[in-house]
Amino acid sequence: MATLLVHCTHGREDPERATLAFIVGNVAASADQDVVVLLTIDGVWLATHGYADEIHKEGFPALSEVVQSFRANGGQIWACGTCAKPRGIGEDQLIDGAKIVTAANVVERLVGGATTLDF
Amino acid sequence: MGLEPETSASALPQPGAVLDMTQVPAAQGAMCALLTPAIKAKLREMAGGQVLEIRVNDPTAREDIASWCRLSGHELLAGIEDSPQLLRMFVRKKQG
Repeated sequence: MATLLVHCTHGREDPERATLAFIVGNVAASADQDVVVLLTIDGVWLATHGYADEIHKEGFPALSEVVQSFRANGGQIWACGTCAKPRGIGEDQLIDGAKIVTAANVVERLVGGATTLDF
Repeated sequence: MGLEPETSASALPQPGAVLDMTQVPAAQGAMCALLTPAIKAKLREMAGGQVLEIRVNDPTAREDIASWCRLSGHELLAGIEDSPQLLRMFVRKKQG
């Protein structure tokens, strides 16, 4: 099964993009697909404790609930290490199920046939 | 790929559970964001082979559930439109 790599570069400054990435990821995970939400640039904040709790775009489900459902359905959360480090984000600040990854980890998935969708 | 045919309710197996999404407030978000994860959560409580009846009032749900079933491998048995405000979809949980 090919991986679906849903890429998000936004945090609180764009709650619609931040939430939609996890909505699509959650629908894929609920259909038993292999799905990773890849967080880069300011999106890496979404992988940290408590950050998503304050994001609730009108007309959308609360982001924290979507992330929780995504995790329960087996979705993976990857935070870009290159983006996390200058923001002072370490592994100890990440939510359950999230991990810091390298560019090589991402490239490996892409070369392996991952399909991407960007927000 | 086509959608499931309309089927009379009497021809369907008795549902083992019902998921009623007709009371979800619009403010909680677009139905497509909530529906299939909710189906997944409900099926998790059920045994393989059991049938789930899903009640929705959003016409896009017919295509949404059909697509999700093709992806996930659960069997879409039928969709019955009782009224413009009530669509009932029947999904059989896959084994294993």
